[in-house]
Amino acid sequence: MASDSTTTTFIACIVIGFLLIRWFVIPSASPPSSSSTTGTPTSSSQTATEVNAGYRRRRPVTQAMIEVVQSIAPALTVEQIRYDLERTGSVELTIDRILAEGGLPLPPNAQPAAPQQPQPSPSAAAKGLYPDLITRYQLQTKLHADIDLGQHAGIIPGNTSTVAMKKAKWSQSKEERQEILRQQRENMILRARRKLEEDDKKINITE
Amino acid sequence: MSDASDDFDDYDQGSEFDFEDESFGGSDYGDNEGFEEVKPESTKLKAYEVAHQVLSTADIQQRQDSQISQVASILGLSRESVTVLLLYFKWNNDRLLEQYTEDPEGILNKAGISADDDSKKREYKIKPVDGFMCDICCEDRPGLMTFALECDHRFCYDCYKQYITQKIMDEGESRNIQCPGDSCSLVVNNEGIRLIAEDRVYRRYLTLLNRTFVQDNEHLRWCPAPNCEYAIKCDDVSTKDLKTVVPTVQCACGYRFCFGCGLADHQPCICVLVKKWIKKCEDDSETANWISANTKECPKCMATIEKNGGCNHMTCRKCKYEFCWICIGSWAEHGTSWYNCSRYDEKSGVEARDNQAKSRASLERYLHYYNRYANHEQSAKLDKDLYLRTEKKMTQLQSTSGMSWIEVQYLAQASAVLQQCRQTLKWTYAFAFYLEQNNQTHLFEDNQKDLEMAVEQLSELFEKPIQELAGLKVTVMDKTAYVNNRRQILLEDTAKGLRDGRWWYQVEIK
Amino acid sequence: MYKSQNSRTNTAVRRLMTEYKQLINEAPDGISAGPIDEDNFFEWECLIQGPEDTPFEGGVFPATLTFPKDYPLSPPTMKFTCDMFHPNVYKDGTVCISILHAPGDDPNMYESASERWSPIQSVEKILISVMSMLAEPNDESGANIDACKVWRNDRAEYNRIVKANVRKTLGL
Repeated sequence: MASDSTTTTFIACIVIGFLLIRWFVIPSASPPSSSSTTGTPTSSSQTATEVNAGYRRRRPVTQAMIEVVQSIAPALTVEQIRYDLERTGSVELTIDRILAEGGLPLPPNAQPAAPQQPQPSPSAAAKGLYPDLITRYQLQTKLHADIDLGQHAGIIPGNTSTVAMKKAKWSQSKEERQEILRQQRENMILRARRKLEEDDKKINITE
Repeated sequence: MSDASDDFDDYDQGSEFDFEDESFGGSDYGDNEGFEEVKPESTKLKAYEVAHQVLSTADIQQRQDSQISQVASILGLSRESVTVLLLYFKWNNDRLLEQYTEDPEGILNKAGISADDDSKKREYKIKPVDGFMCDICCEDRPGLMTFALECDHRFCYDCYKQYITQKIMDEGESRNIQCPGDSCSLVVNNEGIRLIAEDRVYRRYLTLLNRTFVQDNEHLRWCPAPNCEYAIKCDDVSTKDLKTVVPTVQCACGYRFCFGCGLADHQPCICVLVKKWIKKCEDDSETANWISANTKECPKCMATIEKNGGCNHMTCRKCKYEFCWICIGSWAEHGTSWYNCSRYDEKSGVEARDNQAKSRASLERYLHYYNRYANHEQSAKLDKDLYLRTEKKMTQLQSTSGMSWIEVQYLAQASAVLQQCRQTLKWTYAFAFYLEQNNQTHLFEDNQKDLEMAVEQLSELFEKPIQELAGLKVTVMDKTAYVNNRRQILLEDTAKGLRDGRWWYQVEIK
Repeated sequence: MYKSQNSRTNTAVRRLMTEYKQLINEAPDGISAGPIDEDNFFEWECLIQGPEDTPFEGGVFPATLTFPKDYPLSPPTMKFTCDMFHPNVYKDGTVCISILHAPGDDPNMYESASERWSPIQSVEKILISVMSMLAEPNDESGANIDACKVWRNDRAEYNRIVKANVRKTLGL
């Protein structure tokens, strides 16, 4: 008899606990713009995931979940991962999707300023251990912006921009030095990237 | 032995090493005058013995000094430069003199010596230089002490010292400590090291130099016994002789080893066969031999099968293929009427059987020699026990029979002879394994048999109870002498055979 | 002991600072290097341009340099932080090149002492050596056996993999 009542109390506790958790979690996770999920263009498989999951609202996403996904696909941004995790609510489902589609769509509100910006090649990014240099140094915005290196690199790729770099001189200020180094690095990366893109264009034309 | 070791304990390399000492300057290298010989050479050598002498660290130092002096006087260079040259030429006088006379400047350059060799003009000094910045640590405070070789690659004293200490203490380098300057190959010589390095580092440097002196000299070899500091000098043996001689030497510490390969005494087997034998014993190839002698492969799936019953109708457990164990042919071809395989003329069956038989014969032959070899090795490993027991017996004998210590020494001697003979016997089996069968080999095997019988008899005597042993003194002594004699006969005959090229081997001797 | 260790560290920092300054003022073509954060002078980040007329041409490759406290007596270690398929680069990116070996520790025993680390070598020389290593792999001291095999037996495939890595690293 005594054991029966304990069991009943126990089950009651679980049920109440579950309801409480649901009550706490859902309002905070429920977004004001939850309807926007339907507004984004979705691929058929994405719809399938949603249907499978049975919910059309955002799930709680922890930092740990994002880190797990990012360790597998370091090229993806935190926003992309969070956006997808909110939909699937499961690390496994998100990873399956990355593997199946080679990447994740960008969240609708995080579209980059330049819409024509080429995205990192999804298949390469999903496979590699390291993020590419553009992602690592957040150079997406500078890729096609006409900053000083642009003119140099456009005319004669190679030595001219080295001249530009050599203008930078040692500074007594720690911040300035770091800035010079950063500039040096960015110029090198952007120059190489632009050269490669130009080569690609040439090949396309000849083809 | 005890006299000699006392000498070395007192010897301090660092304090006695002095390049300015001219006392050895005049003596010719290779002249034994003035060197203490720890083991006097026996006047008449047996065919299996080689002339050798034991050198102490002091002897080595003296030889090194006299060689440096000799070359220095011939070339008219400073002792420091000659040391660097000799190190470069691995202490080979002839090669050095020959090449130096051909192209003095080129050789100096290659060895890392400044062409401007004049110890009076060259003044190594640790001094401050105005407006100097060290390229290593980038320190530029005024009054910074600096050092440079003739190349004038100047660095601060601390960095130089640090660099040299690292080279000597961490890397064990002594031969080729170059100027730290970029792609500068000038060698920091003894004088430079002495000036810069701390005392303990300099002493270590001298020890390392001594070591290279012995290592580079083909007529010298360190005694491999642990903690033994002697080196052995053996002039009459060169590498190409090792096919016909087993140059066994004995150090002042008592350890017997082969001068040719540095392994423990392996008479009468020559070095190259010793290496082959050891490798063979270590290899798993013999396990593979066993497998091929006792098993067959399923002709279909190649799984290894060991026959475990009398029936020749085999069914592979893995792939269910049925075949005949005798001819390895498919069982279906045998039909159902006969159970004994009669397909002896079948080609693949004949080949398979041939391979099996050959493999089995070679395995049995190997095991024959290996078992005997291993048996003697095992006995040799028990030598320590035996010796301890002997000692115990000797004390017992002293107390029970009233014999003096001197009088029971015959047991110690018998034990030592026994050990040595087992070592020899062990290697006779490795040697015999590689010998072609012929009349000479039979002679060798007779000698081997005689020695083995004698050894076993002595060994048996040795294990007699203590009371009996006291009365057997004469018998033991006689037997010991006889055993030793048999060993000498065997070694003498084998050594002569080696010299005369009487032995034919089953393997190629490179 | 503590004091000497401390002065050793000071030497290293002073030396690294000098090298940093030289690299900023006279940056050689195709090389960029400096501390990730000046609060820790022992961790550097560098970029190397792929040498011309090699499959690495057009690429930019990031790597980290980690300096020991007794730099410049001991050499730093260098590790690529991008996909690098090369016979002398371990799969984890660590570079295996003679100049980064202290003369005493030579696992392979076939490098002559003059090619190895000495306190007079520098970051710039290391990076230039690594550049020429990219152009001419050393077949004898292989670090990545797969890359060795492909480089030796199937040069077209080797070039293809390298070129793919060049694009991948630049986000294409």
